[in-house]
Amino acid sequence: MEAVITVFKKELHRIFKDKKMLFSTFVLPVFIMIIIYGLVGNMTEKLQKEMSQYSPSVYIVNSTDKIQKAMAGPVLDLSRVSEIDGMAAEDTKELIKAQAADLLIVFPASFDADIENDSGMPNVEIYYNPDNMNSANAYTMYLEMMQDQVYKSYLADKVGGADKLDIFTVNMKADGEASYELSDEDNSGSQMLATLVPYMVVILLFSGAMSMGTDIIAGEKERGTMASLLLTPAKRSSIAMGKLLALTVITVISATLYSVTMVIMVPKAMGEALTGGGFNITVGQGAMVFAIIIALAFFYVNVVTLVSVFAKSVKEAQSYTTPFMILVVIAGVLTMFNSFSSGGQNIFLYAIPVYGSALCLSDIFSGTAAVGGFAVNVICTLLISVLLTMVISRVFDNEHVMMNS
Amino acid sequence: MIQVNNITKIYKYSLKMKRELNTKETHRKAVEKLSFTVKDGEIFGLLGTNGAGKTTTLRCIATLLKPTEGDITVNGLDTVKDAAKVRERLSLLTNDVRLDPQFTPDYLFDFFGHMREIPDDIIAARKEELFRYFDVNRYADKKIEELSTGTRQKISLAISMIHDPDIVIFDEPTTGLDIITASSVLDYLLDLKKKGKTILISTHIMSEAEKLCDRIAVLVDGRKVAQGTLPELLEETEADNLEGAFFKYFRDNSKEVERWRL
Ligand SMILES: Nc1ncnc2c1ncn2[C@@H]1O[C@H](COP(=O)(O)OP(=O)(O)OP(=O)(O)O)[C@@H](O)[C@H]1O
Ligand SMILES: [Mg+2]
Repeated sequence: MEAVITVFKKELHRIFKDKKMLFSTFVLPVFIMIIIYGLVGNMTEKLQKEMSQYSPSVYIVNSTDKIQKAMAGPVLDLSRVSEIDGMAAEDTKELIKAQAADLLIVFPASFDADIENDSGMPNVEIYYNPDNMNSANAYTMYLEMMQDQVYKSYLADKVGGADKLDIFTVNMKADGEASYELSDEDNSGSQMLATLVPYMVVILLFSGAMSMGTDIIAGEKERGTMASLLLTPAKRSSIAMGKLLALTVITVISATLYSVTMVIMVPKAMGEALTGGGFNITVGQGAMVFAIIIALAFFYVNVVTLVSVFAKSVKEAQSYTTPFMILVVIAGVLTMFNSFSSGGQNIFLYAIPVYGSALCLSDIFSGTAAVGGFAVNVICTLLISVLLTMVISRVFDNEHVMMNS
Repeated sequence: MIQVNNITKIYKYSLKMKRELNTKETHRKAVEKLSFTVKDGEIFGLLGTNGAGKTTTLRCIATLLKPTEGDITVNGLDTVKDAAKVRERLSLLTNDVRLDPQFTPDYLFDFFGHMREIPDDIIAARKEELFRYFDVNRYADKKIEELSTGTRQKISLAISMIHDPDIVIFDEPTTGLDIITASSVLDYLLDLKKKGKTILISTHIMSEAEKLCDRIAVLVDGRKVAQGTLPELLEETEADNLEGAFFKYFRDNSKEVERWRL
């Protein structure tokens, strides 16, 4: 037991007393995440602002006073709307293609008369360029205006007054204070975080375990210091256990740090609208997340260690662990698709290491977590990890593996 | 006392090694039917060329490797069945010192003390004594990576002697060291002998064997071809010195004689 603690302390000492290590494991990744998400957030904001201030250049064929009156209003910026002759329509289409104009609206010449006399169904044509963001935006806005504002204006004319259009309301109580939202405050998850966070946690944990694990195991062989450890009377299993525990602790700390940074930064970067303005989870849910992270970290650490023991050098160990990194990414991506189907997964899926953990995290963040899946996941992950630990202890006893450098 | 009883050590080549060595062989017999006894309080030398099987033999005795056949006892304890007990009484030193570069001698000494479950006060006393003997106190708080090879060797020696072992095994004690450091290492081994330790070294340096060893075993291609005190070996080969004796043994026994045109 003393050997376990001694090895454990030494590995932690190596990380925490080494400023370079400390910086590259904990500080730098967080810093990079803040910068990246900050930049993304800033740019999205800027883009949205530019888009909302832009006034599109719109050309209208066969405009009448009545049409102009129907379109006028506070909704759209009409400063760059011009009326043109039907003859110029083809030229305008070319301009739109070349992104020199944004929109062409063609009214039939008999538009007003057709509506008034109920003679046929006049069709309005709106031409735009989907490759040009301003044109595409203008299209959406004008389409909506046509179908709503202009349509109502003509309709009101036909039935004899705008007040005749109001026939019923939805969700409009006289007191105006009533809330129709029935979501449980504690459970209100956000789809964005439910998708992103599990994926990132699953991958960040692995990359942490990978960079530390290959160094602690294969690095020790490469530096030739493993033999001196094996020459002490300490049990091989104690040496293995000490290293595994230290690795788990470091991996959990780094993953927690990264996750917290992300949960804080993502809403900032993606805009409140997309993420539902952050999210809140209960203490119980937080504990579940932490339990999943610890179990998953321990599993990863075992995998990386088992693979690294067979390598002679850190480089070799890294090349051996890369295929596992790919598997982890695949598991993460699969859960991204899954997060849209709300809960109710087959319970056996939760028993699959990595994939089950990501499923669980996704459930928790989207507010659909069930204790069953959580328990199955944590217990299975830990069980498989302990089996791996036993294999690792056996391998530590194998001279072909340990003395091959 | 170390008793090596008829051991054979066969290495299995991994796929990668086969590729690197460009060979079709799957096994390599490094040591063949080797027996010898190191008596308490003597310095015993294994003399052999590169690849003769010296390191392999020493690692088997130090429990890092298991002999494929035969067995070894150290103070009556079997190196396979009682490996942990053997490790408690023995120390294996090598010339290529491998200490974690980021740690200080002070930390590493305590670390290995705790790995051996030695009480703190005894660790402190041993550290004081050994650091003073090797004159490395002023480096105690520097990182290993900042120290010279000679200093590292001394620190490694100090750490290896932390548990005051009865049996000291040293694989090529002076290879790679300058003559000043080398001679201080040899003096230390003679010092240990005075204290009654049992010492086994491997070497291919004749003068070292002549100066140090009470008895010598000559290894050629993994087999023992001669054993005795220096005068006994000289008499048997009618040579003037160990070097002459060694050449004769090598010529008479090595499969590689043709290649070397001896
Ligand atoms: N892990 C290994 N796998 C396969 N073959 C090995 C291994 N270690 C050593 N050998 C081979 O076994 C033989 C004996 O090696 P050993 O290291 O014991 O010799 P040595 O006498 O110590 O030589 P040196 O003077 O070079 O240190 C050599 O031919 C070597 O190539
Ligand atoms: Mg050797």
